[in-house]
Amino acid sequence: MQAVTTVNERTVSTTSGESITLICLRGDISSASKDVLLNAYHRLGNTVSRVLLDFTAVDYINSSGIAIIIQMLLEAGKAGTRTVGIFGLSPHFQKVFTMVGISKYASLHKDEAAALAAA
Amino acid sequence: MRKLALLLLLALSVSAQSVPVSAWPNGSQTLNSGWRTHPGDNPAWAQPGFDDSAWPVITLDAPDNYAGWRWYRLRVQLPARHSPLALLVTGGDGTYEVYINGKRMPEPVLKPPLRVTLPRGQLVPLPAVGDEAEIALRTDVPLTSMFAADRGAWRVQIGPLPAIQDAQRALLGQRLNATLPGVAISLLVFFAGVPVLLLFWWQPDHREYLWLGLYLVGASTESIAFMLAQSGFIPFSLNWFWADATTYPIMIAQIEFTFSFVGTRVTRGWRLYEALLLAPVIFLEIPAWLGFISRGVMNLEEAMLTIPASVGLLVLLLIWYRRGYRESSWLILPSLLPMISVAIIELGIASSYLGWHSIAWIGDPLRIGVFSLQPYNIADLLFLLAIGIVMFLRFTRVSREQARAAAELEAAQRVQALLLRSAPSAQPGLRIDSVYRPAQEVGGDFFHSVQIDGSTRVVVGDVSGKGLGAAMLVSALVGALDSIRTSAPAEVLRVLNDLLLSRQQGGFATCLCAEVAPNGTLTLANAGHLPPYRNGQELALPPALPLGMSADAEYAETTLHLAPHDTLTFLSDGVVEAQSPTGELFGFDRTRAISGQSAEEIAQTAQAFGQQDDITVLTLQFAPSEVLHA
Repeated sequence: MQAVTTVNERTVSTTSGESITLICLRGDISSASKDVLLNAYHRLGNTVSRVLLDFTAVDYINSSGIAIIIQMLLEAGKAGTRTVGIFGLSPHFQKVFTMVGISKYASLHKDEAAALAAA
Repeated sequence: MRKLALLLLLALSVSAQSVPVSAWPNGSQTLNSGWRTHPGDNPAWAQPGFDDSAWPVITLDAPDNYAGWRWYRLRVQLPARHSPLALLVTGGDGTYEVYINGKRMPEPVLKPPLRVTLPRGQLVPLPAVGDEAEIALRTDVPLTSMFAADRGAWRVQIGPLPAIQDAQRALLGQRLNATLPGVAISLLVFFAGVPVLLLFWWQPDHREYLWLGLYLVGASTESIAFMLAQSGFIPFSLNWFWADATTYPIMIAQIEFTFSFVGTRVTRGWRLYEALLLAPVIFLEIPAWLGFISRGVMNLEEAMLTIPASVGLLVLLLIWYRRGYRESSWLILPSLLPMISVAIIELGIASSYLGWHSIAWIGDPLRIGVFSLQPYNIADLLFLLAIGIVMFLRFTRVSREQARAAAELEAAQRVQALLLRSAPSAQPGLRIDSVYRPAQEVGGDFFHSVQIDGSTRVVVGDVSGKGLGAAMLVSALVGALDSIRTSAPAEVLRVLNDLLLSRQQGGFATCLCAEVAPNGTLTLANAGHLPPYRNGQELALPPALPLGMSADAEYAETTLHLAPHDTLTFLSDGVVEAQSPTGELFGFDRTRAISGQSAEEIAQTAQAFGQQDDITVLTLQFAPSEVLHA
């Protein structure tokens, strides 16, 4: 049984005063999460140029879930106006994300502090 | 005649020491007035002639809300000539003894608090006495049973034995009429729970049947225990330790059922709440029974603990409904019914305390002939009907889906067996061993090997999704691999990528392609698949997108040279992401540790850990000496 995916958004500021939108994911990420994830991403205004995906509260990601993340990142890469960072992944999924080439489209960080420091 | 007797009785009870019984209106006469009472316990108070004139006079059937020892005495003047007489005493069984002229009657007897019941009528035959009898009630009301209806009130009737027997039967009939309809409804709920549990046996993946079955069985036995205890048929302790105590596990079953029904995991917050619901039995029920907590405080805490579940689940259902889980709306009405029932009961009680006479009827039982039904009985019945409809709809939908899935599974298994049936093909000097363990559903693992121009090309991959869709994607890829005549791994991946991108149905796959030349030169290209292991060490390959994601994806080649007896191990993620019952992943470290073992051993280890997906293991051993010796 899979946990429902929920998404919350919030905005934080870096030490340099720049604002970054955080998309906090919760539950399991699978094919059933597609609408929730893509809607949350598409809801972001055009002015949002920096996005961090927070996976801290994500329990499990299957291959279809990874494909959705890649789809989001490819969209961002195609538009060329938005940079995306990812943090909060377990070491297992950090390796999986790297393996499938996500690191080419998004920077991977251990936690929020590291992600904000690198922003 | 009846009025005259009552007036006479009232007048005499105040002014005289004994109550005359000279007539038997309606076959018996009530003896509730004129009793003298005293708290405490002293055997001498049973003796005839004991001077109780200093004791206050009370009416026996007025609730006095006490607990502990107390005596009641009444002197009765009987007609000079009378047939055998009897008393009908209404009081909690086990809470009192009856003395007639100082002699204790064999029945009833005092019992330990666990065996005490709420008031019910008990027949006490009077021994042969003259024209005067001194009746004494020695009572000991446990702290825990005084909270019930009547709050310690007693009633006594006297009359000829046949008349008292009739009165006892009438009382029993009233209790049965008030209890049986409710018990019958609860039995209906109970017997509805049994087939629901059988549904769980039929469809074990659907835990909602298990939790609903447990809920129905638990809630019905709770109601039965409550009703039988309230009407004095069973000891009140059964209400306390079964009906009250099961309230909390029943709430847990309701929470689990609601989450299972919409197919989501119970969140951490609700899990914490469930743990909290297990505490009252130890921290409320037992201390309250022992008198450390008042019943009022216990009731308040019960309400505070259970209201969040009732309201919270309803809010959750509405939220889920708004998020698109349409079936969650089916549960809204059944979830409302128990709340409405409680609200009606509470409003009825509140209206009587607050003097809202216009709505005081709201909590009254519904009279149907001689029978009566409480509001919660009606709510139980409506709940059963509503949940029955909901579960019927769910069961038929699930059965339909299962039948469709079974047909799909069979078709997909046939396709996959056809594709993967051929033994791996390899050049001399290269030994390939493969194991494919499909998961329960048809997954998307595939492997393929072919000899091209003296080299061996091996492809291992995993398509997204499961079932027929995945099997069709595998068939497209394996079919393409049969026709691709190049052995250059990066080129193979590019062709497959284009193929997936051109499909209208979409789909993507991770894929690893290796080419082994006769001299041991190994060329690899990877599209997001697990890298292979060489002699137990993971080979570092450049990351790349899975196939079917982007037309711009690039697949770099890595070349190295195999030494004699080098072993390469290719895996699918069914190994790395095998999961233990506690949810722990098999992981990369364990995979690396066993990667030097045979394909069969690796697959077995991952399967034993907890197979979740297809498991494919392919080992490739470079053994050129075997060619020389051949």
